[in-house]
Amino acid sequence: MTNENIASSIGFHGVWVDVLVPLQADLNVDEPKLASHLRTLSSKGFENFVLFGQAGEGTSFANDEKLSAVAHVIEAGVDANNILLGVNSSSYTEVAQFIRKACAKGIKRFLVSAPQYDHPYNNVGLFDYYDQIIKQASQPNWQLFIHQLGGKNQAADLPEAVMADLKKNHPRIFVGIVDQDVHVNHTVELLRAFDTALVVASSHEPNLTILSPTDVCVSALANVMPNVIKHVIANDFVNNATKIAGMKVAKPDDRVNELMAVLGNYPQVAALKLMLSQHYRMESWERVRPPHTTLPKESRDKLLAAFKTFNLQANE
Amino acid sequence: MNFANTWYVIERNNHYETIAHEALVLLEEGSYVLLQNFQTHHEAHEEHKRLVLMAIGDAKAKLDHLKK
Repeated sequence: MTNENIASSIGFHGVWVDVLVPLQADLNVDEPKLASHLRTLSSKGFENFVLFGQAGEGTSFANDEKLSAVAHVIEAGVDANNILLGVNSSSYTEVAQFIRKACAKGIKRFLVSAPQYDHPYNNVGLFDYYDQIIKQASQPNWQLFIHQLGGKNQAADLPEAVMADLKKNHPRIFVGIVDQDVHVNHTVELLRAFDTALVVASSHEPNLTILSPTDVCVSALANVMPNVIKHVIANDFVNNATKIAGMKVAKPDDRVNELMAVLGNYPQVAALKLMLSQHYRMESWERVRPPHTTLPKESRDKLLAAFKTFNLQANE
Repeated sequence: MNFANTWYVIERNNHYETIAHEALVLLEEGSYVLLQNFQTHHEAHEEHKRLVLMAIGDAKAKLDHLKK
């Protein structure tokens, strides 16, 4: 079975939006606004969501906050089967308890990152960590996706040997990897190693332009230009160029690279939230949760000018 | 997701509109910008009002700037 066939067989294919999470003035999740964002993306044809992943500032939220938000969006019409829920903790008991509670709300897919720990740990310890999660969660029919963070924070990537052992021991539960690494070779190595066993989804959009066509991706940029990402993973560049008055015609892969150039070295979550705040005309979308910070005024003004030049189109 | 009986705020011909799903699907693709979807007319209408008030505020600010 190829990676594409596996993606279809487990129902994990297409664009999974790495959802930005709106905040109230007190920095709690703005649940109505989150539901509205998901409903709006759904109405554009994008109904698969990663909640509290990398773009969703997952590590900044407590489990109870996540569960409350999940309950709210399900109540607002989002299908629980279309949610991949981020889990960040270094306590396997806490992770297992969270999975049990979320399963009770109908969630079946979980994106679990490696534990953060000051001391070095070996493959046996890492295997035992996930093995305990699966045993203590003790739920039927749920799916574990490992979140490879690619050195974006202190959490380690899981070595291939550990993932191979996990797949061997829990073939029905461990079904996929979401690779956040910016180096395309990292994703290619995972695809080579697990092509016939696990779904591997890249979540670094410039890599998608290289890996295209691919059956599935997780994308933060899809918050603002979901159709572009859809065309990128479908390798459908010719028929879906963006025509901007007075400017050249840009193909979807060009648009991804243009936006990545605009975002540059700015913190991506804050920068994308600023962009979304322009789309919704709602400054409150700019809020981020500490330790993230909103952009300083000078950076904000520069980015706003760059967004104007980028000129996001309604059909993107 | 079921969109029957839901409401949208859209921008068309430089104007904001609140429009039912059943009416939106009849519009020509590309003739409008979809801003947000809401479960109720009330929510969509409140968002519509907010956007109009913002546009008025922006226009006032521009006029004030020109007067200076």
